Amino acid sequence: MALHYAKPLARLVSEFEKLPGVGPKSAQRLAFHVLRIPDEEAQALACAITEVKASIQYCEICANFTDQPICDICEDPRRDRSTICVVSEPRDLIAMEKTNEYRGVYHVLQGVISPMDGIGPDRLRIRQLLSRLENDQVKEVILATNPTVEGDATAMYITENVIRPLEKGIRVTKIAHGMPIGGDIDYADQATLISALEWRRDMR
Amino acid sequence: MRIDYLEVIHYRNYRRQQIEPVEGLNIFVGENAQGKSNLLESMYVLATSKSTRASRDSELILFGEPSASIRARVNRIKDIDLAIEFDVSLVEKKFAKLNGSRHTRMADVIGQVNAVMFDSGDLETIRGEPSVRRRFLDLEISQTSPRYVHSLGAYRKTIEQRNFLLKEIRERRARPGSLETLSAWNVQLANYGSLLIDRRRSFLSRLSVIAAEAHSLLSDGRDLLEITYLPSFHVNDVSDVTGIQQEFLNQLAFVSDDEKARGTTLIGPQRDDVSFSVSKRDSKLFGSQGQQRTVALAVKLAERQLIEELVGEPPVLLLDDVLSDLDDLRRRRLFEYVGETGSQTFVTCTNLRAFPASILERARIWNVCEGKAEISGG
Ligand SMILES: Nc1ncnc2c1ncn2[C@@H]1O[C@H](COP(=O)(O)OP(=O)(O)OP(=O)(O)O)[C@@H](O)[C@H]1O
Ligand SMILES: [Mg+2]
Ligand SMILES: [Zn+2]
Repeated sequence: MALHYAKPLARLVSEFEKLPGVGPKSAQRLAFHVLRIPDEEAQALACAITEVKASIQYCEICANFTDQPICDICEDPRRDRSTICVVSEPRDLIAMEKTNEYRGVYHVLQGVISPMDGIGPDRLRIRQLLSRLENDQVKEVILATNPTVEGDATAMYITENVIRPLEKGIRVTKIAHGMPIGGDIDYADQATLISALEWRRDMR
Repeated sequence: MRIDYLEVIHYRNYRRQQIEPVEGLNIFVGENAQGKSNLLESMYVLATSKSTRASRDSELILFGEPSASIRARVNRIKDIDLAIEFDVSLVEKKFAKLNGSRHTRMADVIGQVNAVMFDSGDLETIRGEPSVRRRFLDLEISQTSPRYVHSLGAYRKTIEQRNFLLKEIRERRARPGSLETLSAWNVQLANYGSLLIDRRRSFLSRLSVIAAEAHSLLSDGRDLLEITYLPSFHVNDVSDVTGIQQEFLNQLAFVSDDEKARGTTLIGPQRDDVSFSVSKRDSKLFGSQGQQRTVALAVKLAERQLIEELVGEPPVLLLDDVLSDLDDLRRRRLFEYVGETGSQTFVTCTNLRAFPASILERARIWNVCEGKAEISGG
């Protein structure tokens, strides 16, 4: 298909195609869109891409994306450093932050354990987490990985192989999985309902 | 549950066919390849939204036509009437209509009609590979337990990941630290696997009692059917899911070295089997054709009863080619049994001589020929 395009255009289409969620059709649409926009806009897009690659790095403490060595959250003196919420992706951190409820700090694993994808603990930011737990006064670790087979295995591994051996009496919790708030019970899928039943609690 | 009216349009070898079945026994008689099984299949589609014979929905459409419809009026308990329709098309997405309202999500319409189907393929449950019997278990239990469905999916995912890891360990190319993740996968495997084992065990213990009764009736009390769950490790001493989970972990520890050497998971529900024995002999190895068919039939009749208990009314019974291999006595017992259950029943055959005269008197009979079914004048 790419053969029908002029070479530079074909290159752009095939670059777009590599993006997640972009098929050949959308890649073509995006490429033609880029051709049609003014030069400045195209420049701005190209610049944004180069700049993000040049300036964004992992936070030395929590492994979140940041443009400084230490991210804003880890720098913030008002955050409670005794509670660490472990998430697998930066976007999960952003979702948590949007709640404006959580006052602790984070640790971003940058993935989940998945042998099929060649991802073992060495590819995740687990060593960094370990040194935080060893050196800081951490009272609680909240595990907020996705409720998938891989997310659960990762949570299990961190509990049993990373935190438990420290013998520091750190409390380990896992976020509840169940009914969406404001959702209708009759619209919830069955796995969600089953989980909600399992994690029910006493009325106070 | 009773189908009062069935209409198929451009479906299989039928251009347009209407049928008004009776509450009791309905018989489709005709030569080979005339369209008898096709009619049973259409009613199975009403219950499950798909056919067991067709690998693609488009196979259901009459050659040369763009779409097929199956329509029915069904009477449920307490005289609730239900108009149900399934439409498959070469261009559009499959959809169903329930009392006129359109659904494209099949989960919303499956189970509105309850049916149990017996066909020659069911003999494979008895004499086929263990994987056929596991599929049978999964299919049956999934129908009534969403939790089983979820655990089955998660278990398969877990075992795929775990086998990948074990293979890497065997070939000594596991990533640093990966070996230590094995215990996390073990916990997951035991967690989901124990639920599967528990549900399979209780399903089979209920099934075996009911199937033994049906089997005893069919064989006139001569043969004793025993259905036994054969899990990959013993769970006789543990009574609940937590116990099975612990035992699963214990067993994983036993086989750990072996698993690393072989590079695959060696125990768990993926290695389960079920044995069907008649008077203490394994029917898979020693059963005659007729015996195997009787066992398969008894299992289906038990399934019928389980569904009746669950939904509160007898499901429709679809018996395809059930009569071959059965002797006269077993045939008579079968129809006596079925008559007593109160299930509306549909049977195919190539010859009415296969039926006892007393049974034929009360049945409605269609002669099926080249995609047309006509009520037999008698
Ligand atoms: N999509 C289709 N369009 C037209 N004809 C079809 C289609 N699918 C199947 N058939 C025809 O339907 C016939 C088979 O019908 P069916 O399986 O109901 O036979 P049967 O009466 O049960 O025969 P048997 O006694 O051998 O079991 C075959 O002739 C087959 O070619
Ligand atoms: Mg047939
Ligand atoms: Zn940080």
